[in-house]
This record gives sequence, structure tokens and C-alpha cells, in this order.
Amino acid sequence: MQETSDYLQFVLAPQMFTGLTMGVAVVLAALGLTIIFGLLDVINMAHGAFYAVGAYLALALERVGFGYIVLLPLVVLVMAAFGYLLQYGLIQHVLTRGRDRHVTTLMLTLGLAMVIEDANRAIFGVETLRPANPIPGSAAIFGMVLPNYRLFLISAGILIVAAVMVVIYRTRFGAMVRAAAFDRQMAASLGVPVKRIYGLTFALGVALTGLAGALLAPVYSIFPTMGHDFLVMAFIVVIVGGLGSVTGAVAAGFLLTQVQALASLVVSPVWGSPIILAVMVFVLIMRPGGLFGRLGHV
Amino acid sequence: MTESVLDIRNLSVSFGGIRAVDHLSFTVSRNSVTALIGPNGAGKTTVFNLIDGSVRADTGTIAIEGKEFVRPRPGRLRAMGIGRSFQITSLFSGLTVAENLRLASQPLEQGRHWLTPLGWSAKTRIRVEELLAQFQLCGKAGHDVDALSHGEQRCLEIAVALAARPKLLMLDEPTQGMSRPDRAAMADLIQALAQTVTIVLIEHDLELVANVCDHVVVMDRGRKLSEGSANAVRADPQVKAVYVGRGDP
Amino acid sequence: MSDPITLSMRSSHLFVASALFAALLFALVAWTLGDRFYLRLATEALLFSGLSLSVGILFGYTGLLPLGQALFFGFGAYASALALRHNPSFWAAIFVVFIATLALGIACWLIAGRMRGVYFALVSFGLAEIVSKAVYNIRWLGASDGLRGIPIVDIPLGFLSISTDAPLAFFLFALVFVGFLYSVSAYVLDTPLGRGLMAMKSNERRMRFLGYPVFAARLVAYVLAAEIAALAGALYPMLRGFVSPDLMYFSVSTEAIIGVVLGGATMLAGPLYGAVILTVLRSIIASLTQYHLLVTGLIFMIAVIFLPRGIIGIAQRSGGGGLD
Repeated sequence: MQETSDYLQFVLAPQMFTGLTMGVAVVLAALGLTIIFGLLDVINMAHGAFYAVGAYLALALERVGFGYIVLLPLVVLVMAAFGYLLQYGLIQHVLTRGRDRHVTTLMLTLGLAMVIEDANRAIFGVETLRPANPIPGSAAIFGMVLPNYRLFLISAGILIVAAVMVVIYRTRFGAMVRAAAFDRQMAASLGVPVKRIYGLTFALGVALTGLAGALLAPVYSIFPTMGHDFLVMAFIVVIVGGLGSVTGAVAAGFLLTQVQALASLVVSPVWGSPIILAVMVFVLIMRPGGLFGRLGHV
Repeated sequence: MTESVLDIRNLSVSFGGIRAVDHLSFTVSRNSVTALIGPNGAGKTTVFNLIDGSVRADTGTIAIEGKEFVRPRPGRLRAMGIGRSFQITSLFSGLTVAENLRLASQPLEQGRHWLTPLGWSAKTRIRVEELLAQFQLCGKAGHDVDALSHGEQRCLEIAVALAARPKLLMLDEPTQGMSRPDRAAMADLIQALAQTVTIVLIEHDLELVANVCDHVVVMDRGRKLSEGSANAVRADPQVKAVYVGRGDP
Repeated sequence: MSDPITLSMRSSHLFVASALFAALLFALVAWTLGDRFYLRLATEALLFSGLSLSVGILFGYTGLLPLGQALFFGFGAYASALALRHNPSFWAAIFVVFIATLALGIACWLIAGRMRGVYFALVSFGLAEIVSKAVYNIRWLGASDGLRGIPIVDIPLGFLSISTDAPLAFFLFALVFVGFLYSVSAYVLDTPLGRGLMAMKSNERRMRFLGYPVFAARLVAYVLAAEIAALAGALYPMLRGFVSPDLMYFSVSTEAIIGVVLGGATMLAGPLYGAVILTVLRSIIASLTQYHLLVTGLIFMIAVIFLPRGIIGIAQRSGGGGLD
């Protein structure tokens, strides 16, 4: 009995906590990805690159002198602006290509990802960097020792996820986003400023994933290819949750990161990624639409 | 050789709570031209979808040349000798008229021909020439189908259904969106086709139906309302009520 | 028949013939200069152009974009390496690769075959990631180091024999080999089955009603593409003497896609041109700056926006044809 309780307290729970830390960030990024697809029909292969940019940006702002917690909103704003400009200046131009749109935007964002990755390399160098832990120390909760920063990360992350869901489902902006996702022309004829909504939505998506990068940077460090595996994870979550589904991204995000965290207790961590990928392939075969419905269509 | 090419018995299907087709029965005899008419929403296209297997019936049977099916399969349609055209033109965009016809005629080469060079498909080539002449599209053979006029596209739509020499031709609103002279030409075409193939068509143009069809089945709200020759059906007060009441032409 | 598709295919053959001619000139120059390095580089470019051809078949003809086609390339390379280490015979290795890829191709198709668009792309990606990560962790496949010590073999061609160690001879052989892969693809794609694939892109439903074997056609296209990639990959260990997991990585798949887009997806010759041009560009870029990923990415984006028919599309603008 003692052994089970010990196992729970010292092995399982901390692992779940780690999974939750990752989960919050993954959910933020997946939300961005799924909203971008749900509304704009864009497969954003540069989503991982934006994640890295968010992390690098946070580091740069810290070097300039901002306090880490203070700079987070700044990162959000800068990433949002960046996203808005990208949508208007670049993505917009291939959005009208008809039925090839998915493939074209996929390839365009793929190229963009390459450019951003190397740009990060050029500006910040190839070595792994790490911002200082903004909230050092740890707290004892339920007999577990949990790092303070991670506690902050999880609480802040969950708050933001909740805020995004409120925005999507309870505000006028969110209603316009969902209307435009459901039927672009109808929404436009009803007075919804579709182009601006597109820009704002892309901005939101980019901001969310950039924030995820900034939040996780002190935990997992920053390096030029950090976006790769994260992008894969975000895509898996979005696929399993349903491309375009907000609830799906949240549910699948927390679920899959827990699966990955707990799986590493049983098998070597290197198999974590193939396992999750296999889950994705399996879900795609069984329910191609993912586990939940699509933005605007549910 | 059975006299009935198509025999529908007691066919029903519901979507959600709505009876789209309700215990429908009728027979189509060889070399006849049968029309399926009725106001919008009567279930006519659904009947076509049931015959070609796109939709599964809840009850009833479909017999084609005496052979009964509960649910035919779209992939087996051509093998069963049925050709179908669609209400909304369904051609191969981006390809030429000749290529569209070639694709539709390919099954005439029986046996293993899928991986042989195109030049070996002589039957197909001949058939394409025939169809181009029959549908007066000779000059447009090399044109992209998107460049054709609506009337020409509707003609090609039927030609594609006819290409593999079906025994039964199902035409869904062949004159949809066509101008008056084009419709008259289409009527002549259908009459000519009727010499060699059995035809069932869905139509809204009642004048065309009267001129061309031997047999008319009237549907309303999924059920068969009336059946008989064009004149008999026209005189039927129930039919008149349905059309006049609904405000349809 | 002088229909536009056949004409387009003929233009493609013309492009390939010109490329072949240019390649022979290159080989002549290299031989007189006693060069080994550039011949080996060119051979490697040829092999990767085979992978681009594979992507081009799927993307251009079935409209499916495979984000993980390098899986088959790497698989062919590994299978070839294992076969050669066991029995240093060229034709035996090729045979093994062919059969093994048939099995893998069908298996992958059973998973990915029903999917379209984005889902297909992501499953293709997922499969490549799973296999490459698995290979990376499997010790008897060499793990992250890969397999080394591939023996030098002689390729018996009846009247003469080519050593894989002879740069010029192997380059010429690879030229013929890739040419053969191209010819097989070109043949299959201009048969009724291949033509049907194109029609399926625009209206699959009607093709079903016309009695076309939709299921079989997709399978043939997918397995053909897999075989092309794998057979091109099979020559890799013979050229380099080793194989490693990064042959299956996403970056390799991406390069193949860029090659297709750059060269042009509307013609079968496009991917071959695109891959070769990309290789040449990259070595030029690499000598100018270390940020070749950035430049390649920019080139890719420019090609996607401004060159919908690729570089070959510019060249053939006066003539008609093409797949769209």
C-alpha cells in the first residue's frame, strides 16, 4: 500500500506534472494551428518556426533588460503584429488559388519555415541558449516538490487557453471568426470584414505559438531546430482533435502530452514520438475528421 | 430477352425523418422513352441515386434486365449496362472534349487493356469519332470542356453517359438551363437515341416530355402519383392540381 | 493521336533528351579533365532526382502531396546496403529492393490510400517519421551511425561490367538507370490507367460510374512512385559506401518537393530538371553563404507564388500541353 502511494507521489504525479507543463504549451500552439486552419484553410508548416521565434524574442527582450514575466505580453504583441503582416503581405496572395489552396499554402509556409529557422541561426547563433529561471525555487504541494516557474507556466497557460475559448465562443470577434469559417462569402455579404478577420486570426495563431515558445524557453532551452519536434507534436494534436476544432485541440493536447509523459515511464523516451505518431495515423484511419468537429461546423 | 429493362418494386428510402421515396414501383420496357416528372423535391433524382447505388434503399428491389439487386454499386454500373448523366454537368474539367469521350469509351476495349499503349485502343478511337459526329461536336474535339457553351456541355454530358454503349440510359434533366432551340435539338437527339437504347429521363420541360416520351411516371413527395402516356397523365386532375397548386410550370 | 496530353508527354521526352545530351557533354568534359569529385556529385544529384520524380508522379498525376516520400528512398538504400553486405551482387540487391518495396508500398498504401489532401500529406509525413525514428534507435541497423562498409561491386551488363567505384562509368550507368525509371513512369502514365488518374483528379465520382478501376489505379500510382524512389535510393550505398537514417528525414522529402515545384509539376521531366537545378544552386549558395536553408526557402517560396508551372513551364509557354 505504501509502495503504491509512494509510486503515485514520487513517480507518477511528477511525470504527470511534467506532461502538464508540456501540455499547456502544446495546447497553446495547437489552438493557434487549428484556428488558422479552421478559418483560413491554411496548413501552417511554419508554426514550429514561430514557436522558436517566440522563444528567441523572449530571450532578446530579457537581454535588453525586461523582466521575464513583464516581457511575455510584449512577445504576444510583437508576434501578433508579425503574424498580421505575414498574412496580409504573403499568405493572402495565394489564398485565392482555388482547390489547390491547401497544397500551395502548405508549401509556402514550408519555405517560410526554412527561412525563419536560418534567420534565427543567423541572428542568435547555433548554440543552445537558455534564459534564466524567472521564478526560481519550488513549492511543496501534496508532498511533491514542484518548481515555481512551472506552476506559474501551467496556471498562466490554462488561463490563456480559457481566455481564448471565451474569445472564440463568447465574443463578437469570435462569432465573426466562426461565421467566416463556416461560409466566407455569406459572412462577407453580412458585413463581416473578412480580410481583416483573416489577418487578426492568423495574428492570434502566431501569437499563441510564440507565447508557447517564450513560456517553455526557460524549461527546455532554445536552439535553432527547436521548432521541428514541436511542430510535429502540434500537428498530431490538431489531427487527433480534429483539424479546425478548438475543443479538440485542447482535449487532444492535454491527453497526448500525458500519454507521452507516462509512456516514458514504461518505454525508453525515444519511442515516445513514434508512439504518438502511430496514434495519429491510427486516428486518421479510424476517424479522418479527428475526434471532434470543425470550427464553425459544430 | 426480357421485355423490361428496369423494374422498380416497392422502393423506399428515408433521410432523417423524411420519406424521400415512398413505396415506388414502375417498369421501363425495352427501347421505350420513360419520363420521371414531378415538382421539385418529389424525389426524382433520389430514384436515380437509388438505381445507380449512390444511395441505399430501405426497402424494395431494383431489377435490371431481370436481375435483382438490393443495392447496385456505382462501380458496377457500367458493367450492368447503365449510363447516367447528371443534372449538374459533371465532366472532366481541364481536359479536352475528345479526352472526355475517350475516357468514357475506354471500357469498350474488353479485357486487359489498362496498361497497354493508347494507340492500341482502336475501338475507343472509332467510338470517339462516332460520338463527336452524333452530338455535333466535331469542331470542338480539341477544345477544353470549360470552353464549351452550356448547351454543348449538356450534349457532351449525355455523350459521356452513352459512350460505353449502355442498354439503359438515365438522363437527369438533360435540357437543364438550355435555350429553346437547343431544347428542340435535344428532343430530336433523344428520339434518335431511342432507336437503339432504352431511356429514362427526369425532366421539367413538359412539352419535350409530351413530344418524346412513350411513358410518363409522375412523382409527388416521394410517391407515384400517376402513370401512363403523356396525354393521359396531362389530363389527370391529380397531376394538374399538384403542378398548379405548387406554382410549377 | 495528337491530343494535348500526348503532345505534352512528347515535350517532356524532348526535355529529358536535351538533359541527357547535356549530361553526356558534362561527362565528356569531366573525363578529359580526370575529375572524380564532380562526377560523384552529379551521380548523387541523379539519384535524388529519382526521388523528385517519385514525388512528381504522385503530386502531378494524382494530386497527392507526399510529405514523407524520402521514406522509400531511404528504405531502398537500407535494403540495398543490407543485401550487398550479405551478397555483393548488384542485380540481387536490386531484386531484393524491388520485392521489399512492393511489400512496403502496399502496406503504406493500405494505411494512406484512402486519404486525400492534407490528411494524406500528414500520414505520409507520419509514416516517414515513425520509420526513420525507429531506424535511428535500432542497433542492428546501425542506429544513428547507419550502416557502413558497403562493398564495391561490379555491375554485370552482359557485354561489359561497371564497377561502382569508377566515377565516370557509374555516372553513365546511373544516367541510364534514372532514364529507365523515367521511361517506365512515362509509359505507365500514358496508358488508359494513367490517363484515368488525371481524370480522377478533376472528377473521381464520374470515373467510378464509368467503370474505371479507381482503387487499383491509385494503388498502381502509389506503388510505382514508391518503387521509383526506392530503386533510386538503392544505388546510394553503392555510390557513398554507407547509409544513414537521415536519408529518410523530412529535410530530404522537402528537398524533393522543392525540386518538383521548381522544375514544374505539370510535366514528368520537371522534377528531374528541378532536382538537378536545385543541387547546382545549393552548391553555389553553399560557397557564398552558410545560410543555404534560408536561400533555398526563399527560392521555394518564390517558385510557389510566381512559378506555378515551374521552370519548365517558362520554357514551354509557347507550346501547349501540360497537365492542367
